[in-house]
Amino acid sequence: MGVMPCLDDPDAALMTRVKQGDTVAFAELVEKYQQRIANFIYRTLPDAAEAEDLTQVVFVQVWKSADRYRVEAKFSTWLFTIARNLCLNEIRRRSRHPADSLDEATAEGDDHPGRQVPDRESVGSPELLLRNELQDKVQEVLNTLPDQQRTALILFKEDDMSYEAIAEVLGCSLSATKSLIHRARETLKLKIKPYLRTGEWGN
Amino acid sequence: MNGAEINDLAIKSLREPLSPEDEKRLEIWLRANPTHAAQWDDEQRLNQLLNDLPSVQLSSNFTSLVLRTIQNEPRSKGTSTWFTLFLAAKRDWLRPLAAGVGVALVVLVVYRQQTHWQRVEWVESLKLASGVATALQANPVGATPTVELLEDFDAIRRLSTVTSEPDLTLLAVLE
Repeated sequence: MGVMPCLDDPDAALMTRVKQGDTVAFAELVEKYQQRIANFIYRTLPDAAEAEDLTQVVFVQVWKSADRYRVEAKFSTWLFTIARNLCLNEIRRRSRHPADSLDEATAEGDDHPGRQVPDRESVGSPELLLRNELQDKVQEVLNTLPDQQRTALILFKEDDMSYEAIAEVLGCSLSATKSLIHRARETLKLKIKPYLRTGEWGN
Repeated sequence: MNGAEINDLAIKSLREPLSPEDEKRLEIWLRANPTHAAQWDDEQRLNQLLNDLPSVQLSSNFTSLVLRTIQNEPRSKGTSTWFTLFLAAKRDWLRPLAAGVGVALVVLVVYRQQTHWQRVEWVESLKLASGVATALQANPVGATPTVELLEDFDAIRRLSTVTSEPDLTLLAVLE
């Protein structure tokens, strides 16, 4: 079937190579998208360790399903759809088995060398502590948003995705997507109003 | 500018600075609507908070970990069957066409089956009726139609619609 690749998407060309088993092209895609996917997952499931594990699962899924990728589709849309579905599965799994973590679920056969995590910024000053606390609070409020609203806002903010692409990931219309982003912002504003007005978190 | 446009600007400014034209329009609007200034400040602070959310720190060897993992992962086979093509044809013409062909096939099978059973019933009715007719010919007084025949209204109705032409043709051939 003669299908034209997505001309304005260089990733589609890389995926064409990945379909043929090219690991160099695959590594290029992993390098390009790992941080965005990890952030997306981290905003959805705020757990840094599991965010990394799940990010890895996303890319393994990309590799395994490369043959199902249609080159006329935008790669990032396909990738974030996979990431979102895995997040939803993980949320469902957690609700069924609240005590389990993904680490435990994937512990078997984990013969990889240890991760090399870079040193994190040490936080000591009151300003930094306050900032971290505030960030935790915003993340907490973000987690209370309905899934569709949160995902729409994250994709818009973190990933510079067009409304059309977000609509495709969420499987809804363009106007519904705009409405989801707007409602997410309204809910956030309402819930963090104390900070917005005073500059400090009021308990 | 109206409320909806302000919302659009607030959302737009979440990921990129406003253009000078937008800044100008906003300034004019805020000057004309000073009560909305606090609302706009809220939008900006919200954007700031969202932009300040930390990134998750991945292992520095993340890519090599992924590459190592995929070496042991079997890949899905190519999707070249008609069924998988059908599943993949999300927005193409193939899916509605295949669905249409499927429905047409089901209708055809159902129609043929129904016609077949109608014919079988008709033949059975005619056999019953012809049996009675033969008996009446042999013994016009003693032979009475069976209860089954009288109950089989459809057979009687069909007998009245049969023309005598095939019988006359048959007689002519026999003679």
